[in-house]
Amino acid sequence: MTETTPTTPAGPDPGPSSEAPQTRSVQTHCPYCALQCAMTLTVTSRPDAGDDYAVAGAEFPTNRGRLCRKGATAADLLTRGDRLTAPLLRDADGELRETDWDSALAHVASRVAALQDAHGRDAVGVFGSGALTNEKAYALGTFARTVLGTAQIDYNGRFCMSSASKASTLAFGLDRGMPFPLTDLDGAATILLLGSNVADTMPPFVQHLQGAREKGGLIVVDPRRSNTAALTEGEAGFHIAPSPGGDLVLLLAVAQVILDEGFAAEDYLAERVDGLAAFRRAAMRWWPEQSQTVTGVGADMIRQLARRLGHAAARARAGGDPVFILTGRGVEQHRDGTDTARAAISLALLLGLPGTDAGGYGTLTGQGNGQGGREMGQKNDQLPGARSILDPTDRAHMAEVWGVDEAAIPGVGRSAAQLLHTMGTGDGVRGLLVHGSNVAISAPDADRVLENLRELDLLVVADFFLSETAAEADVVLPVLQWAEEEGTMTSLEGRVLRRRRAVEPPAGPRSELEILAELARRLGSQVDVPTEPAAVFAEIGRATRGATADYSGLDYAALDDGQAAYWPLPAEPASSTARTAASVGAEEAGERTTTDEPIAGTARMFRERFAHPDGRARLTDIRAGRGVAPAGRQLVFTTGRLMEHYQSGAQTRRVQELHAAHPAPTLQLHPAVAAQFGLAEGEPATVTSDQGEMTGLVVLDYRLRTDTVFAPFHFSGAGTANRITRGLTDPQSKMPEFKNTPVSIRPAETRDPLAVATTEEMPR
Amino acid sequence: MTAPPSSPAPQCPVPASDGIDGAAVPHVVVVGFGPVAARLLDELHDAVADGALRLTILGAEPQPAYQRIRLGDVSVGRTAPEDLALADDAELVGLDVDVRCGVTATAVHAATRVLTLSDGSALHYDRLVLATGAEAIMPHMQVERRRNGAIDAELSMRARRAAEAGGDPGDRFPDGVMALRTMEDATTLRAAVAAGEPVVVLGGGVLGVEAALAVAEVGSPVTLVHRGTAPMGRQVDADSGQLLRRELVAAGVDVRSSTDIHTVVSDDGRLAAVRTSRDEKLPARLLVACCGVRPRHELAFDAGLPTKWGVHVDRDCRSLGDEHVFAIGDCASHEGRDPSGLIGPGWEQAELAAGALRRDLGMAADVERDAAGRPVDLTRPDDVEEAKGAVDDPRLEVILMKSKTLSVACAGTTQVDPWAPEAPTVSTWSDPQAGQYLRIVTEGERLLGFVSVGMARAAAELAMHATRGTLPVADRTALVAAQHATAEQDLGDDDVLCRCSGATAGMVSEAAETCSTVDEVGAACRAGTGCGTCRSSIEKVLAAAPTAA
Repeated sequence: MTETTPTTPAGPDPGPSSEAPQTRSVQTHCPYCALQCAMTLTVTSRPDAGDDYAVAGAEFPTNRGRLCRKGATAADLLTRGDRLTAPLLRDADGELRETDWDSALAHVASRVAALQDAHGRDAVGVFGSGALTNEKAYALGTFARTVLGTAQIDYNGRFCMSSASKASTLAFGLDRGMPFPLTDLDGAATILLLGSNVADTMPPFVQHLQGAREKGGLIVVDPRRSNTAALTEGEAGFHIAPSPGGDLVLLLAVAQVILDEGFAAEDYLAERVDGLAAFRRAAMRWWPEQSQTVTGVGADMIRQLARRLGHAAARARAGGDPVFILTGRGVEQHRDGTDTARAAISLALLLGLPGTDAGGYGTLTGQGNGQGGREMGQKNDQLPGARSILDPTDRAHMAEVWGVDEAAIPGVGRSAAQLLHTMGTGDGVRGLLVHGSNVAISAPDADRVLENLRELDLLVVADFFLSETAAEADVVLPVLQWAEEEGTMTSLEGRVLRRRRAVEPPAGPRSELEILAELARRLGSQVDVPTEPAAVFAEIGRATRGATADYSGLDYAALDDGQAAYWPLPAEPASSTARTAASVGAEEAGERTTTDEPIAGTARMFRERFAHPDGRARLTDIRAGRGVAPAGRQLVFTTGRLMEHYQSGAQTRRVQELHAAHPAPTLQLHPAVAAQFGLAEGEPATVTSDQGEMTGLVVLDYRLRTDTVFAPFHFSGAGTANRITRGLTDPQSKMPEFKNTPVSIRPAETRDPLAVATTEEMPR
Repeated sequence: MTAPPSSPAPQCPVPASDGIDGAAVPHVVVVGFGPVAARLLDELHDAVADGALRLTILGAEPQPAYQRIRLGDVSVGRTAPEDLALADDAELVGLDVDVRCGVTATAVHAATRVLTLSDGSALHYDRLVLATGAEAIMPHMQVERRRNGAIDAELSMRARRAAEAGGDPGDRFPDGVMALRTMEDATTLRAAVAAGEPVVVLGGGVLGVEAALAVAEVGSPVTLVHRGTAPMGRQVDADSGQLLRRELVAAGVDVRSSTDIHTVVSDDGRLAAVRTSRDEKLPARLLVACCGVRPRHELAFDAGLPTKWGVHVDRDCRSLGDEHVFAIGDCASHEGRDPSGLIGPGWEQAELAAGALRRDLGMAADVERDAAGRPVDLTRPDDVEEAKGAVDDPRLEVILMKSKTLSVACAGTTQVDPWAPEAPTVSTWSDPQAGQYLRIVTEGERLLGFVSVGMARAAAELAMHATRGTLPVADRTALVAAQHATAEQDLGDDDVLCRCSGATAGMVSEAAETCSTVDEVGAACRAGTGCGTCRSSIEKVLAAAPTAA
């Protein structure tokens, strides 16, 4: 991949002025999701007017030149009139007013110091993001652990990847979302997609389902007939619609049939997997008929699914087309999300798939840098490289890299939901620094989060728009966005990609790396916080050397040279120990990606061994607890995403085309349910849970389950879906339960749809 | 407290520690090692692993707990006995759980908290959990003894004289008359089924229907004899009973309704035939009696604890007569209700008892906390919890017939006359030709019952609603539509792809692995050699097969 295609000299400089418009283009990746579609950003400079920006899809293995509607309009983000260009400081009247950097940073530094002096190091917390580059995520973790010395750091990936991450770590010994290149899906005979609506969330991904569809092998599990579930129509596969919260039992029942009908890969299990007997007992509790009481899925469908997988896997193991099992947030964002992801992995292991040519298991990471973000040291219990903050060796390694005393590195802090639900109260943090996250919208029990944000003694938000969270801040720090910065992102397949600076940022915003370094200086820290992305990346290499997620063999030059680098990519492969993941991967010499880049590192993991010390994968007993179920006339409220919007909508609600396409919060219902509760299509309805209520416009869908109501969570105000969700978390991963909340529903007090529809001002 | 034990307590070999109040590790003894006891073990696993309590489990059968409800699959050879295991010997040993299989308890000495065992030993307990389950009720039947085909006059005379003398007639059933309750029963049935020997099942409840259908599904001859006019007549309404009867016949079960068995005929001490109330003599190698079960509550009864069709226990599954004794599962009358014979309530009781045990033993309860650190209890909304067992408990216990070919589910009451003036709301969908029947009975906010035959998706939806105590959507056509919307054209591997030849999709797929043309597939499995309508489907299978040309 080439960095630039200059029609003028490379770089963000607009070039010499002349009468004719100058154009230049830069190869980069989309600002949004983990698919990280390659795009060409073309800048047209006119001497007498501002620059115009346009993006176009570029050839790349994940997107093959295509972009979704979000990516295709991403250039609009660069020219928004409401871009934050100066720091904001809340004044005595309680208004956010523009100020200069020195005043803003001085205020932050003095308040942080005062809070920590008065209440201890842990009085100030940090909230990071899977949207940050690896460099920023690493710097943020470094800043929290060394400069602030606080244990209280976690990030919004807790709401995305934590369950699958935990499950992969328990089962395989490490967590890389897809331990194989995405393009391996192309040849699949069968793909089981559990709780993922890729047709809306990452549309270019759908190309990779085409092979399975042509073979009738796309199986989608989703309570809704989502656009992805609809891809199974026309003999392309089939769709199974369990009640929200029924996924774990469904998977155990499928495993039961697989075991019972002799589909299990006995040789593989004997050779590579421990714990079959324990898992067999788990499955034995849920035969198909019994599982119906939890799943709402007919026993016949469960058997059909099991047999389909069983036959397909048997063919795959005999050299046929592979079988893949993929999970998404639909099955992971539950109180039993880790167990559910683990059950999906267990199914893959039973069928003899992971680490072979017969297929595998993967989780579809959501955020742009959801993979890198979770291994760079923003997690409350991890240090860079997915090192454990409790492991003395890991702590010692990082102490050396950072030049600090090992004992000074804090221990495990609170996980995201805990951090947000306790802040400002009792022994919660009193100050919070938020980077790249809009927790007022995206965290569970949004009313409580908002309340707590207002209780904080200091809230600092770094963002490029005035998000709902930034609007609550004492200090808002304007920062750079995607096309204005250099860095790396690690995509859903564990491939490290370059984000390139293509445009000149407006005057005012600063790089978060510079901000953190400046704050470190003002706080009197001796720790060196580099400000150049390449320098940070070099430090990432030193920090992750020998760790699970080993980046030490990587540098910008190789990436810019077109190397397709999959971690682990150790600097010294020969010296890797059993603990390092390098030995679990097998580089296929000379292999190139579908767009002809040379592959480096570990494209396919677990070929010879899994990452546990003994090289074996782990099955275990999994107990389905007594899940939360609705009572009486209650429905199950479940949240998700729309094609047009991304996460909290802080960016996509500001893109005119996307806003126009889906401007208002909605509630999706079965027509029979709507009729029962006196609701009409297009009119507002209000759902109520123990935590709060939200209002949205009714959308009818006769293919939705009759016990379920679905709401996208991208909206603010009365339409904030997370006002309904609760602070209940998975005990293993601390993932909040976003997908299963009992609610009641009624027509909204206001019958005026416009009262709901105009939630967003759209200045240009 | 309870009456003193009828016999003096024997010398107990275990030091009589009181682990609850004293320093010693408390000792919990579980009598019975079935699926409900296994669930209790799961619940107490962490406490045992932490060394917070010592556990002894007595199992009457030679092996640890297995999934009893799936014995039918073992009995027709679809599942190996070891695959039903619910407990792992090695793990139990590792936990220092004292498992004694093949040992039963003979008496509870409540005053001294000592249990005597069938091997003559005794155990002191701090808490005792009875999980002895239920035993099959064998019907009253005459025995007609034959030897080499002829009536055995001598044996018959001896039995009659003994009876007249008021003694034991020695009138035991011959080999081959059995229940289907233990692993031994299942392996006995498996041998007969494997040999294709005639099997008669007596009893039209769900267990009898399941057993008969399972035998028919593997192609072995089976007759179902039952008293009612249609199978499952006590659980389902007349129309669905008729449909079920027809579906059973279609599946190969010889169904004899309104019929009883009054005599079993033995030859050389082994069952040879049965005589019915219709004066038929049916050949039978095995007679499987599925005529109900009775709770095994004798230990509690003999110890003077309140029992009546089950050990009377409170919400925590604690005996109403002795705070040290619990009972769970089919031997327990939980909060005044008769044992259901269903696994769901048994599991729930195991959870409740485990919670009470942990509290008794001073162990921290498993309190779930929300992200703000406040305790939450999400098991059920309070009002529903309190209603459990009361008249207005909205939850129903669901009967889910296990079968690979026929979907039957029911709960509550469906035998109502929809035309009666005070009738609840009754919604019925009936399509006998298609093998489909669905009836939903509701009253106000409550689901009173449902039955579903041949509509697996609707059955699953309603089973879930009944279990949760939620109301299905008011417009019931949505449930019928759900059946349609999710019914796939896609064929499962057991579905017939070629109607002319009966070749299944699985057979075609298998053939396709070695064939490259439709004709070759036809030569291998005859698919596509009839009317030819399915040839395009076969082409698709070939295209998808790894070795296709």
